[in-house]
Amino acid sequence: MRAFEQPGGAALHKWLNRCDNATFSALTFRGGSAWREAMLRDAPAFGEQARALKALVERHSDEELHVLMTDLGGHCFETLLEAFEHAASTDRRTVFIAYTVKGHGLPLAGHRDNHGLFLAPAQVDALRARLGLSAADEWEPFSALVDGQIARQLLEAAPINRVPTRSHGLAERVDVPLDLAPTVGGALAKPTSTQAAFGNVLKAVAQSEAPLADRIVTACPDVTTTTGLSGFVNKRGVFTTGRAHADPFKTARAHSLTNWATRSDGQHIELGIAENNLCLLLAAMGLSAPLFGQRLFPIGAGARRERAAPHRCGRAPRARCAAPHRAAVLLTRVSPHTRRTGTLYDPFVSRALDSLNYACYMDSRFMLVGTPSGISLAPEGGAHQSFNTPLIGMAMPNLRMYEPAFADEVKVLMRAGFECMQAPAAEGGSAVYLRLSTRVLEQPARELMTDDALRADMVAGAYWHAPPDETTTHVIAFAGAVAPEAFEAAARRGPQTALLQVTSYDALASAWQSEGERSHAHRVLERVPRDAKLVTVLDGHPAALSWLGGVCGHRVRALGVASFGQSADIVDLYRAHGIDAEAIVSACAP
Amino acid sequence: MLAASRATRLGRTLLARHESVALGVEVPRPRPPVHAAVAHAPPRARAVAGERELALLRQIEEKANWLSCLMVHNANNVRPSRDGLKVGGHQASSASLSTILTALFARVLEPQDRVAVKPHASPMYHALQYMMGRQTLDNLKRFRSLGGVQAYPSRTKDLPEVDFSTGSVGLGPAVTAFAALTESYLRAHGLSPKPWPGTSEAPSRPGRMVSIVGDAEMDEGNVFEALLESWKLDIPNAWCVVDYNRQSLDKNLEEASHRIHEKMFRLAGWSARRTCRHAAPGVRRPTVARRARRRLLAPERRANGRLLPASPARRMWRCARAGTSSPSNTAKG
Repeated sequence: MRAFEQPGGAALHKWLNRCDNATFSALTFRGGSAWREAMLRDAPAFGEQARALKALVERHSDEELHVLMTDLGGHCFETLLEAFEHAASTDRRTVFIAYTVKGHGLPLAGHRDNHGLFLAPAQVDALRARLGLSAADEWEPFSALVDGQIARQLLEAAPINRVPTRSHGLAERVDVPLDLAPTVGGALAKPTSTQAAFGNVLKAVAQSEAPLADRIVTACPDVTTTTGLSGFVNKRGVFTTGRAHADPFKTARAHSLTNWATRSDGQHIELGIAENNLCLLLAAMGLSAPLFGQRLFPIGAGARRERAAPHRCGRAPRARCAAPHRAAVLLTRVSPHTRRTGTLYDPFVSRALDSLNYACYMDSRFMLVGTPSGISLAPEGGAHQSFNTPLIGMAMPNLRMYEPAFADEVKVLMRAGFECMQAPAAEGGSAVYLRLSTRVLEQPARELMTDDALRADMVAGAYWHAPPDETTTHVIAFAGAVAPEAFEAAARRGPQTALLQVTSYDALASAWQSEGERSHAHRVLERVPRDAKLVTVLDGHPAALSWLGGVCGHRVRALGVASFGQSADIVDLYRAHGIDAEAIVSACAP
Repeated sequence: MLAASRATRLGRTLLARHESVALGVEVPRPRPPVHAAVAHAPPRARAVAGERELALLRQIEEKANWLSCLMVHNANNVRPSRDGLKVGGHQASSASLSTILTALFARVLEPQDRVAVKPHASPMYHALQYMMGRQTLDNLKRFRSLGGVQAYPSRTKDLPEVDFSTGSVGLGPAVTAFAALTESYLRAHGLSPKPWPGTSEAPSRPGRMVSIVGDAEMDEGNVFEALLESWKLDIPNAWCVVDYNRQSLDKNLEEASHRIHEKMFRLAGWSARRTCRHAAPGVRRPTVARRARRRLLAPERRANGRLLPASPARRMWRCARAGTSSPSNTAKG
């Protein structure tokens, strides 16, 4: 009989409504006599209903009263199964708020301190005895049950138990083209940034017929527009679970860089600016292979809504530097999807760090693109300049981090990334993190696609621009956007200074950790005379590269960014943090 | 058939409008079916059980509760300790979910449904897996020791039955919602889930992505960040089961917290079901309006000994609630 429908039910209901959670908990813990005591004590205040309430209490034994009062929907199979069955008749998302008792069925039920409490051994003995169990059969799954055998059959026949396994393991490998984007890089490459190169590679993939292209899904926390991602989005469309919609701007022939038309076969998922959602979406999509047997390549890209326009600083001999030219207000309110301006700046990897950690803990496979990064984001100021993300990338298991400096490296490392995302964990498979920049650099004239050894070195984490010989006295090792400064310093130092580029401090360090003298880092640095000095530099925390000195026992001077930044141009900021060419040259002094 | 599905859609629209008026917000418009598979899927086995099964389920629940307790007791008090550290485990927090997990795993969930289990309910979850023949006794006895059952369910360290790791609270509702989006995405791109390994049987309908969370997890902001996204992207097939035991780790929850939680979910277009049965603080008796609505939505119900008139509107309401395509199917309730 339902409690509120029996005589005195209305009074019971009233009493319950006056009973706060803590009192309810305490009474649940103390049991039948406590319920009786409390209700009888309160009854006189119930006027006409007092007698009915008393009668209800007195009709029940202590045990019955306890059962009645703790008979909650979350412990009632009829109620739960009905609720689940009802919800199962549609595909609508549903929340169930199930009233339960913490510690249900145990002596510590209801006590508010029970979260960290354990049953005392004597209580366990009493419970064991109550269930008719002995030490001999206490672990048996169906012992001492009235209908043990039938219960076993019921569980064996449970719908979820129908298939041998629910894990798909490794999905079919998707072929990754050797050259993802023939138009990117090469002997005639124009100055560009790694962020722009990333967008161009994706655009080229989107336009290709490669099976890989159909498996890529991009997601972006509200920052797709005017970045390289637009190319991919325009070609492949925005995904919707609902009806396809044309972009009103396109229909109205108003110029806009991105086509926000949605369609059910779109390959871009546009998210709000909350970075946690980006990483959690990547976590879920990156499990597509084991959960659904279908490989996806989710790419979570954050990039800023700005146009990068180069302007020379005139100091670097082989590369020119440029601060991004702001045009940020240009494209606000492009569509209902982009109400706010914002981006997954590299520093906001930290904001989604727990979600990223979670995704990696589950060994989910995705490509996270943190861009733009570092103090090279100069005028944008200290709140948006990341400097400790290299250390995050190095320390996070199941995540391979790359920081390219040049466009052709971006496509080589993205290709390696796509392979890494689908490799078994035992073979080094993992998620991938690219740390990119909006700083426009002059590109090296080279045909990377014909140089297998160079590509292999890049993927392994480091390669020589100017290799060492027995006369070498100094090595400048740099990563990422500080390439022009490193090149200038090396040129000023002369031929006795070798120049090493690190494309992945993460890959380099983890291989050194596990393989020691057989590692790429060791192979690279054993060529350097023992009394030569290493000067490392990057637009990030110096600890990301300073360990290189320990590989073969070289002296080291590590340059980098170890304090918060501020608004300025690149020239001033690099000088302030001691990562400009001048600082590199002086660091080479004995 | 066409007329029936139009009626269903219309009914759903009515229902959505009704809710949007009540909430003062716009509930997403009904979505055209993206899952072609749903229409052709064989009917689900009925979850609702008869008295006989209910008795069995209660026995299973009691046993799972015992095994979960024993697992923690064994780890803390029986197994020799080499370092003097408390091993830990959460007997009370596990017990709170005994009925819900038993109901889901024994009767409701199908192979394609994926679950993120409340981290502190790890012993209860693994006890049930053990009873279902999917976990070993050896692992239970090594709860929280090397190679044994993990403190919190782990995809990579536990047996492959674990769908989503949990442990950082509040991430379950988000990752399951996004997993539901992932399956929608796959199906919309002609990449339907592959047959189960070792069989030729592929899931006939999309999986329900279920998070089972403690009520205190609702304090995590990322739950509501994800809810907002579930509304924008209109994510189907996501379930969130809140273990509303009104206790956080330290103390009792604020009174009537469920009202806030429920409203937040409903604002994001989730339907909300409260399973309170009768005796619990803060449970409101149905108001007159609610009783009227419930009557309107109820399947064939006799009032004063006679059938209520089955007006077309009422039939549509019913279809919308039941989500079936044919009004005639819902008569059985």
